[in-house]
Amino acid sequence: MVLNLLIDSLKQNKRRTMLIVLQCTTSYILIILTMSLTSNVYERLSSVQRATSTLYKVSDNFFYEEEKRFLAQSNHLMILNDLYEWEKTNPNFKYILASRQNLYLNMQGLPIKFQYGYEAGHETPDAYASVQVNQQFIDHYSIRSHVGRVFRDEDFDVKNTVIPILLGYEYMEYLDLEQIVKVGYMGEMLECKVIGFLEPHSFYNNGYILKSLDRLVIFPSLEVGDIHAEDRDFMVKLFLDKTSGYILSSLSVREIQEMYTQKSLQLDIEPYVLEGVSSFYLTMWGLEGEQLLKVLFVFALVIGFASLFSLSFNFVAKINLRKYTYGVMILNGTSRAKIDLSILVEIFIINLASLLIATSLALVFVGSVNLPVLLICNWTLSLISFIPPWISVQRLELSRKIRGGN
Amino acid sequence: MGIIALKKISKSYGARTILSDAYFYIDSGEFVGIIGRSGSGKTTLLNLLGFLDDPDSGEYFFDNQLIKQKNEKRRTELRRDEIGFIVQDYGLIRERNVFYNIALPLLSKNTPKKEIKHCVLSIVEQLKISDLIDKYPYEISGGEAQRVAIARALIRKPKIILADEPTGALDESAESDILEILKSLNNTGVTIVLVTHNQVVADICKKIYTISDGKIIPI
Repeated sequence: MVLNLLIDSLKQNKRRTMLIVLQCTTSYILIILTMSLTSNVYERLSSVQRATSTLYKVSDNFFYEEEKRFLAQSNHLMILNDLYEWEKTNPNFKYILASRQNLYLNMQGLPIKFQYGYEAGHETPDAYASVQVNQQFIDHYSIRSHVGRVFRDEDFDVKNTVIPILLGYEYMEYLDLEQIVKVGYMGEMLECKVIGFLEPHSFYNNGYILKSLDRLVIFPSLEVGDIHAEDRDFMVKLFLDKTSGYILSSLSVREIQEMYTQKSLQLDIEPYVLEGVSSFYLTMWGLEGEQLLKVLFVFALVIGFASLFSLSFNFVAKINLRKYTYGVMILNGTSRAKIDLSILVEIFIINLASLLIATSLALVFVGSVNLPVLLICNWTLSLISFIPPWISVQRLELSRKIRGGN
Repeated sequence: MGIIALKKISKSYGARTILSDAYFYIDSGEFVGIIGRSGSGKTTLLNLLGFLDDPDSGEYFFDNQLIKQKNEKRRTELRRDEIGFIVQDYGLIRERNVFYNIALPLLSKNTPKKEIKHCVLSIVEQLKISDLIDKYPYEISGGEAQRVAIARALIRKPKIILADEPTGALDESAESDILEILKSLNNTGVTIVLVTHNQVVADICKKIYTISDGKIIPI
């Protein structure tokens, strides 16, 4: 009987059923888009917060001639190695390496937008910006590859004859995955292999701005097993670079500076200097991140209520059209509960069909959907929108409907 | 006590009183007509008798069962199993064929398909409407539609048939056909309560009542 009622209802009022499906589908598309936007904003908000919270920049204190003199003494490699090991393993903070360095890229056909200084209007031919990073950098800024992979432990080994590198998203048009390129890095010609291209809009905090990685070459921080066995001229430059990075800690800047000063004095070098990094807030439509999330939440609620209203309204209208039939059925022994059940099943079917259409469209245009959350929305929407039709059936006055005619 | 007993029943719609402390008894097997002009409260009385409406006060016993003590579910079951309804506009579902319309009370009770088929074929033969079984309500005449409605009312072998202006929309020939069917049904022992404004129709009833000053009085 419930099935008969359901089939009759779907067969009749086809136009209204189609209208309901269309409205529901539109609502679900809006819900999916809002959810996608919300999760995107949340992710970006979290990464911006992660990128700025309790982060300090640490730099060496050598300038010009002083730096040249320091680098000229190869025994300073042991000092830098000692400092680097201390930074890397210090339990009081997490050391994030993000050391900028220009490199030479032996590549034809790369547009000038990749050249160092292009954004400032004075690009340097053949010089390309790179950043040397460690695993903490990858973890902290949630760096993910769009194609290929990000660094693994073995990629940080200086003994690699071919150095694995990652490239910013915009390089993807000009270089291939696994392509071997010659790179001039700190006076050494290195053979590098492209192991991945980063997701678009990847960024890190360079202390002043959130720096996009889209046009950068990402170099692994090269770790050394046996420091004595390596090329000292190259290594001393590399290690000077590696010792300047970023500190992530809940300790105050004064406490960390104190630790660095003590360590520098112990190593008999100019004390490294700590400074806070700029704070950034994600803004969109003139709203800061958290406000934006609230707005999106309210927006989602409004869409939810609008779809509830339209779904309920259309079903009540549908029931009004079928009141005579329902009256005849009740008069002949069909219980109101069976009529209610058929309407509930119909609401579920229409909702599910709409969700299916909306999800398919969203998969094509948005790329991904959060199906469990959508299913919860679907069931909640179905159950709540059933209340007005249920009331309508309960209030159906048989005496009036039967006499009212068909 | 008869199959129907109304005790001190009152029913009003706003300021308009239809029944006021009215009493009414019908014994099994009777053929009762309720006559009156339009708006006199005939249909209200029939709605009360079929539990389609509740009285404002008083007690209604159907087959010795006090109706106000029955919930909606039990009333639906009683209506399905003990009462057959015939209404002026036939009360057929347009989008379903004659077979389905007649089988409706059985379908509501989840009766096996085989039994439904047997019952429907037997009743359509009895009422000489076998050829209509696959047709839709909009494909048959008024007289045929009312026969279908009677077939549906009889399919559960009810104790009583409540007929509200069953011939109101029919021509003379169809009217006399339907009245003959009702008469022969009554002869088999089925109690019939027929509401009409037409004296000729009422004349076939064995007892005739009217509603006057809120009371149900015999004529």
